[in-house]
Amino acid sequence: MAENKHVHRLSAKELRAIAKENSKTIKHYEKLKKRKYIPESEYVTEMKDEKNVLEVENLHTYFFTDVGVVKAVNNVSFNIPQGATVGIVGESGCGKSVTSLSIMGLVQGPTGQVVDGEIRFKTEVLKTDENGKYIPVYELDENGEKIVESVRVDKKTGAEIVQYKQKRDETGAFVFEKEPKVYNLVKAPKSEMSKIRGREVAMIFQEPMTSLNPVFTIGQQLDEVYLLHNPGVTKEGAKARTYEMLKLVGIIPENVYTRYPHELSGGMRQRVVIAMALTCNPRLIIGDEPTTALDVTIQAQILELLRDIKTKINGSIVLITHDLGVIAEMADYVVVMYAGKVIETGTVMEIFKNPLHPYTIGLQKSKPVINQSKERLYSIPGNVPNPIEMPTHCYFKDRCDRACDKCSGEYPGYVQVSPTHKVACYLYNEEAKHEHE
Amino acid sequence: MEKEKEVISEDSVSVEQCAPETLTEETAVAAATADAVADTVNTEESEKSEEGFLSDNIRVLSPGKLVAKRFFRSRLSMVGLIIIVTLFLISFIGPLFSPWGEKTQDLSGGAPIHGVTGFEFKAPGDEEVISAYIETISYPEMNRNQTTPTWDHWLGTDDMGMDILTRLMYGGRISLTLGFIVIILETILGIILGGLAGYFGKWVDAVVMRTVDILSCIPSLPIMLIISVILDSNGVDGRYKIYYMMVMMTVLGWSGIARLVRGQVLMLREQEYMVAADACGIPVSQQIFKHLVPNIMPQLIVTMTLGLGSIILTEATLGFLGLGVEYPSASWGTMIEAGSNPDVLRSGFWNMWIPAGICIVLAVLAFNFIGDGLRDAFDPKMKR
Amino acid sequence: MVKYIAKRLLLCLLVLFGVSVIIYCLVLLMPTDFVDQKFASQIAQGAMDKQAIQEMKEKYALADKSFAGIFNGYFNWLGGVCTGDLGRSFKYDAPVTTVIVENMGISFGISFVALVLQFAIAIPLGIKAACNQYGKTDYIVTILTMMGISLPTFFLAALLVQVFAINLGWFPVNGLVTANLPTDTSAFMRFLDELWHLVLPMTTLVILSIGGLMRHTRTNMLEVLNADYIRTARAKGLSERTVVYKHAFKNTMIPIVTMTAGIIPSLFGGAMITETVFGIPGIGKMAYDALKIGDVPFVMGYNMFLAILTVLGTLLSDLMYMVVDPRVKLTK
Repeated sequence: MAENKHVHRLSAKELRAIAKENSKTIKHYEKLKKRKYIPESEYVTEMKDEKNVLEVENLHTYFFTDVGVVKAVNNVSFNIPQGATVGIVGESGCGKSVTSLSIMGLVQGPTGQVVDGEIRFKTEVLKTDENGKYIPVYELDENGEKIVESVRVDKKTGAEIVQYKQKRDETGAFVFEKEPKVYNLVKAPKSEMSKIRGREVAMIFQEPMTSLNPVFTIGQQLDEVYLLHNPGVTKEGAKARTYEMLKLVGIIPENVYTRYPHELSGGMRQRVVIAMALTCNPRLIIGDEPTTALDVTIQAQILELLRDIKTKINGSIVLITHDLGVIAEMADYVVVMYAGKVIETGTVMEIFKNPLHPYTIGLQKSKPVINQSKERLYSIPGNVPNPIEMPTHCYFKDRCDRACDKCSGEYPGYVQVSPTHKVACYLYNEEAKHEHE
Repeated sequence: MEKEKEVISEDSVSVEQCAPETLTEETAVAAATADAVADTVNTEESEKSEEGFLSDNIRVLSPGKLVAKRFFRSRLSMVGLIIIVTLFLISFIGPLFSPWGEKTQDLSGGAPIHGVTGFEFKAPGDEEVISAYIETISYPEMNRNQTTPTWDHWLGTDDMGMDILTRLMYGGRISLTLGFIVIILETILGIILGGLAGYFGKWVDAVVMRTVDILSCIPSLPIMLIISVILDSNGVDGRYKIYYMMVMMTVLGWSGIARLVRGQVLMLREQEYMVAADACGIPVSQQIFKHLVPNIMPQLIVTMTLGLGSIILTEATLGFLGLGVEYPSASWGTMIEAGSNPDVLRSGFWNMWIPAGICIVLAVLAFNFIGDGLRDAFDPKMKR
Repeated sequence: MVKYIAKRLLLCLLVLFGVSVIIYCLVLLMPTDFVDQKFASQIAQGAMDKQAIQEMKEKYALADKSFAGIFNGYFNWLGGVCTGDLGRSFKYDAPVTTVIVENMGISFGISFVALVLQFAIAIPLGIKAACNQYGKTDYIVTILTMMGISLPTFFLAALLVQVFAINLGWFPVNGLVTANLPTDTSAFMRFLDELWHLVLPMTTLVILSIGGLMRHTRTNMLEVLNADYIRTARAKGLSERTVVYKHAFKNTMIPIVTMTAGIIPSLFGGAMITETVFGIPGIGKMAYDALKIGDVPFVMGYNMFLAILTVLGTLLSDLMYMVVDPRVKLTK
């Protein structure tokens, strides 16, 4: 066995030190999360740019494991403009999925913790009055007067209580007054997060085969989301909505409503998962490799569907994938990640026509192209570095065919190539360029 | 094939470096884990010619060490291990230091019993009545039913004046040894029959599996009772009865392990790498044994550890019902039989049965702790 | 469905046949004069004539151990079993069937109450432990579980008797009825009296079985909580409560419900050791007393009874799977 000579086997002492350190850190973050009351000032912020739906800034998500801290997401920043599709690409293990889970607040604790950073999300929350109750929107007649629904007399005080007719939307859900707010999802309390999840941000998971609960029917699972986020909706209302959603994703509702997940094919299930994500008209849909597990024809259908829907509900999409073809097809902006860091961002044209970072270039070269006779497909040499104990220099240095002396220095900062195009590489640093020449 | 194996094994090292941390610890991060594993799989595609990659400077745990680490970290399994080692040491080395033997009665007589008998008598013709008394000191034949600990008898003596602690040690020898023998025999029988069933399939499988079904329907305790009666009525020497019983336990108990082995063999046969091996012309039998052993060992060890506990329990139950090792030989089960006698309970001779009971509980508990710990340690899916 | 059940039933019969053969063979190992010894006194008193004994010997092939004798004896016996005749018990001098039927009520009562209590305690605790893995509850539950699994029945029973019956005197040492109960005691008081006698045995049963169930619940729950669909449920915005008690719970309950279905029949079989220690005249104690002296017809009958219960349990639990788990459908 070609064992690595550099392998460092952990001694028991080191392991204990790690375990001790981990449990301390984990306790600290868990305690922060478990607080009963979190003041609103802690998590309400402002967007840097009003055109964005989501701004991720300096996000650090670490996993405190037996063998050390894994910095799965290490200082990641990117923006998602309103109505845009942003593709996040990278090799497996580069932190794409963890980024998306961080946005959802679903990083699985206690080992996984969002250690630092902000995820600002433009959301709409229901206004509350001084008693903490939601403020209803009432139905108005032609004269602009509230319509009286019922009048009852309070038995104790004898006072008349007038019940006005509250406005309902087409599915029967009560309408309440809303106000736009910006939340920092990292700090937001669980109760607020659960109001946002599914309603404002929805996620489509990678594994359609396992991401539906096997003991509930498709109908029950879909209705649930709508009932949950729209107080006052009747079962019929929810069912109507579910039917509508299923039709939207191209399934005949009658066929699947009473079925159990195991009775559907993978493609159908993925459609159901998408329908579930769309039910509440979220402003942000995160697709975590939504098509990876599907065969090619279904893939195309699903992508088509996502694109259609995006225009219909006017939402934004974060598309996580390692399939460059999908990105080219779907995305407006591309974020390239490598070993927990963003190494290049830009519009899809910039990334595909003018890739700058050697890794991005490598990625594109390793994509098969038709009509080109090559001996073998290009592959980037080496592996993703071990996520524990990352070096201080550029993580890609060892695999990079254009590495220079400068690269052994500290991690390169971002170079703004165009207003939308950024890259973290010394090759494009002005000084570095000079050195090269 | 050989070359490919090389690559795979090399890779498995890197899987160890990434996977353990994610897998071991609250794998939780299903996504992260998947990525981490996939990531190492990716490396297979890339060449590994260059030296001095970042990825080379890796902190690694070998698989064995990983299991050991996970095992030793679990506090309960450590407790179990300590208990078992202690019990073993005490049982096997303890008697060497004890002044008493397994069946020696303490004939020191214990504390002398003083008795005073007063009487009056009048000598014939004498007016005066003489009062007299006789003081008797009786030395009891043996020191029995001593319930308070002394230096001579740390746990007192039983109703025949035998030292409880010493008997506990001898009892431990029997109980623990029997447990090990039975579980080993059961395992051997189970592996052979289960392996045959899985390997040959068809009618062999049918016969073995139906036998397993039948055996698992036979109520064990009643059967043990009958066997005891049969042994008695056939005039088997009481001293050897327990060995017959243990043989019966083995005969009735192999079915679980057989089922496990058969399942593993069947599963292995369907694995794709087995198909690949087949395609390479490597005989299936060789492959099965090459892959079966490492695949089944973890489960087998866990089953055996947990089984040990239950065998000790069964032995004790038999002892309690008076079907086990025959008095005056000691086993924990035999000793605890005293607890079945309400008179013993009423007279407060706690030391006759409670220490033995505690030993049984400790042993079974320890084996369960260890078994559980091992299962968690072996199972990469178990979140820790 | 019907076809499947029929197939299963046939298989059950095969298994039962196997069990009966094994037990019959065991009984064959008894010495020929065993029955004679047992009945020596009864014959001497004239309570039983030689012919009855000879019949019995033939039925259990104790007289004629040639192949033909065994063969005839076995089928003679089997024929009886098929018509519901399990023979006549030596010890109780009554048909085995009657003895079993008359005494299984009390055994079932105790075991059933214990089962209900056990569920009421174990499942919530198991779920709680799984939700706070490696928390305090989890450790407590784990240790309790281990205690329950490791405690020998007789030891726990004896301990309870020692502490609560003898030292504290709260409960009776054994028996089911207070010996000198006035004859005019009302039925309700009698019932309470019985209940009072049954507290310790039930406690024993509950403590012993609670561990296994708790562990089962915990393991299942943990497995479910790590499933992808639970992540989906969280992503929907459901509160942690709903996630655990709706989405996870239903999945967790599937194996537990099926397991319970498997247990129900075995409740009739009696808890031999517990009943014996506490002197409760249930089927377990009756069987113990009879088995100890080698009551051949009872041995055969009781073991067959237990085997039938076990077979029924497995069958029931498999059928239950089909009812509860939507994934299991008979398409074959």
